[in-house]
Amino acid sequence: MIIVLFAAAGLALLMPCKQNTFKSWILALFPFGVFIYLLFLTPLIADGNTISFSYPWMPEIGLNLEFSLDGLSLLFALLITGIGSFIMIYAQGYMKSYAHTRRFCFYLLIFTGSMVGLVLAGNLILLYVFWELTGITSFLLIGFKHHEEKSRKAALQALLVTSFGGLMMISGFVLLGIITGTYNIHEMIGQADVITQHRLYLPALILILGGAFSKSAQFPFHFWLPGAMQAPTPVSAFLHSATMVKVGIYLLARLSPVLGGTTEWETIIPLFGGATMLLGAYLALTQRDLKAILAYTTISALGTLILLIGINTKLSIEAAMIFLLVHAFYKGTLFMVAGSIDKQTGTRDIDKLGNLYKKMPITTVVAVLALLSMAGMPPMLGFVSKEIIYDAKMQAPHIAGFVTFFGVVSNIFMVWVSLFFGYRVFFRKTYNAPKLPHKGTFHFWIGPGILALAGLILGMFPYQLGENLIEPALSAIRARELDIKLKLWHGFNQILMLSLVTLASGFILFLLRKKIIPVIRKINRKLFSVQLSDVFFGFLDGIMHIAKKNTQLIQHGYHRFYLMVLFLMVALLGWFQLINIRFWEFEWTIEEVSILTIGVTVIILVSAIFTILSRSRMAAIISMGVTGYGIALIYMTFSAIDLAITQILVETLTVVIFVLVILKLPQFAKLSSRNTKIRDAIVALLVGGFMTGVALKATHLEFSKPISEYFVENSLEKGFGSNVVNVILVDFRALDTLGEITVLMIAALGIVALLKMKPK
Amino acid sequence: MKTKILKLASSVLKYIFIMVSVWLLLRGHNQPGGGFIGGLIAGSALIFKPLAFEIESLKGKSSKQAVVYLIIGLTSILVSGIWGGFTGGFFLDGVWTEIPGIFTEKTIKLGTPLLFDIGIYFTVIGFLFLIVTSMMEEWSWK
Repeated sequence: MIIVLFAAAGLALLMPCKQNTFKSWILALFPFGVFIYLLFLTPLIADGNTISFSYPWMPEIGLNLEFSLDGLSLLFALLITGIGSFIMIYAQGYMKSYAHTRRFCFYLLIFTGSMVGLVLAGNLILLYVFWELTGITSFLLIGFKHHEEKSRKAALQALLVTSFGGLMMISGFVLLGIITGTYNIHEMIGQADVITQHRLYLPALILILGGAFSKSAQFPFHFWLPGAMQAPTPVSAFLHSATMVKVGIYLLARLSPVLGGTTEWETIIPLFGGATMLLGAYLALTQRDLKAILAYTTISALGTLILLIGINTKLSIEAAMIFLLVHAFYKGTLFMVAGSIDKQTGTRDIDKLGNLYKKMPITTVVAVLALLSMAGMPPMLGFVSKEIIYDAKMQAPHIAGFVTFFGVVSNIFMVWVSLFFGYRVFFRKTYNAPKLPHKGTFHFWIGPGILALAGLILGMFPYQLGENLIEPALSAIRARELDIKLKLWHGFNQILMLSLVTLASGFILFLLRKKIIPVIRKINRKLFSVQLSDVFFGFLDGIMHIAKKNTQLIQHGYHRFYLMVLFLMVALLGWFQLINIRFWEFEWTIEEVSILTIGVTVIILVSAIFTILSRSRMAAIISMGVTGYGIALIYMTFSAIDLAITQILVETLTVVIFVLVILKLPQFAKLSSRNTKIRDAIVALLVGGFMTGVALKATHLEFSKPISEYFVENSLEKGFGSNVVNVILVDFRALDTLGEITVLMIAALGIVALLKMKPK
Repeated sequence: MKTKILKLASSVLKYIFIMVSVWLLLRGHNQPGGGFIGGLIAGSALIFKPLAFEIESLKGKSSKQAVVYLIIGLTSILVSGIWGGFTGGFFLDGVWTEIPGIFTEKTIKLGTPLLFDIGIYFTVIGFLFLIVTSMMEEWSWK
């Protein structure tokens, strides 16, 4: 069944828009089909089943294509495909005026596919692969308007921050792999006790948290998310609020039965989550750009989610799962609304907008529904989730008072922001935007409309949702059967009081906004005079600077020094090893040396010395050739005919090519001073001596049984050839030959490049 | 290098060299020879002409010609590798068939290693031809 699902996702990946006229709603059918299919699977999963599928990929390192669909995966997969479909429809309206819409769809579908893969992956390494894929597609989508420097910068920043986190995460996974000996998540859950007791537990936890926090824009990595708002709005709505930034939460939820339940888990995560929650909500207050407001409230919401996961009680996880859905509903909607407003009026500046409810009535209704959900007012689903969140925070072990207080404060800010957003954009009387607003096509409001309505309807009847989606997800996270009941109305109690206080304070603050906002702005100017984003880019520039210096030092462009460094390093390392193994201790195995061999050796020696001393280039080359032929003769005395032939041919060609080069060089001039000559001689002696030492010692070092006998015995039988050398080359060791041929090709290309591509 | 002897000899020697190289290539599996040696000889045969006359005698087609050799060579290697992969299970596994001889009772064994050797042969030719002729072009050899 998973295969069917993936075939659909894969098909979606492979199909860029074929039409010249931009019709992304057709492509929306792909994620929508998967969505429907998943919906059909829901009853099955709700009964507590898990559908899994495994295909060996690289079993040697424990990496298989393992997919499993349980409650948690299902919740996320439904969210991704459902919102993905609406986004594709919305994109048809929004992206009309852009170039490269086909590419856009392609990225978006790849992203959808890899997200689904990520939440279905049952293997940590596989999960990482999909994780990085989402990071890369996010990079491509943020930088979609690549002709603008701001977009490029934001894209780079997002990529670097999240892939830095990704690297931390994979290191953490490897540590987990070392502890448990498996990368299968399901098998890991069985060993949870071993993991939490292990001394590598804390490093692994911190590394994995680094990955999750950077992806989910937690403090101190939060700064990339507002930057990512450079992306076209459908992307912001989809990736940077509803889905991609949630994978950190997914990861933590997925791993909470493996890693959770310890003091470290319950301190570190709530701490960062809480800080992010408060910071995001606070920073959202003073933003003027609609998308920036939404971005900061997203950060706050992500903080809340992380906090809830960190509290790690049944109630808090339940709250997290509901809030996850709620947030995707209202934030996706609001982003799409912001995009529509931007398209219709030409600005996103909250100070210029106003009075839009007359011109854009449908959008207004949709937005107000979503804002009500964000503020957590009944009867929206947002209210349900907020009640549970308060409940969870108040029942949190150890830290209840602290998190409840901060939760209330950030929710007050949220209420304030919602009111502010709604009032400023839709109901204020002034209007200064560059374009006169008009109603958009249905593409603009159908997606957000359905999402907002879903928020309303599910808020009124939350029971079904709880039964079918949240409960299985919760059971998957807690790794046991659990039962929950969702209700809109919990009765008069402490939590309702808190909600009322929140709403009232938010409203009062909203009324006092004219006095408070300037004060906050003033504080912010002092407090945040150093922007984390700027620090990041400063750091980047610093690295570039160091890299430049470094390159200048190492890549100086003098061929002779490159060679010298290379030879010296090899020779010195070689000498170190030779002395280690006492190369001077070897046995003289050759009992009898023929006169022919002695004669040839003498010839080689004489011609080598002549090469060094010769004053004419031509003579030097020819005497070098003599050395080569001498070596070929020695091969022949040991009846290595193939080697001898090759040696002779290569030697001949070398001489010819040398002559070609030398004819064009100036006369033999005395360019080197005495000192450089001595230096060169030392280098040459070191390298030559090293090679000699290796040759002498090589025959006496037997690490394992020589393989040559096997070759001799099997050459005719298995390779069908009696020339052992050739059989080795083309059959037994064909891969080595392939490597050599590749080297040959690269050398040829290098020579041609050097010769032909000189600066003009 | 304007020697009449070399000029005269080159046209004859070229074909002899190529024939020898093919012979060496084909017998390589059982007796001394093989793709590398054959390739070196055939490559030398091909650079006779520019060496004896001038580089212009090739009319600037040398690099194209060399690229064709390289393509033939690499494709043969690729095919021989993948062939083994499809039938034998691993990349570069040898696959053999026997063809009955036409004139003799003996059978001829053909296999992907021979194709691999032919690949090496052409790659070496292309390599040699490419670097020598581009050097000659660079210094406008006469």
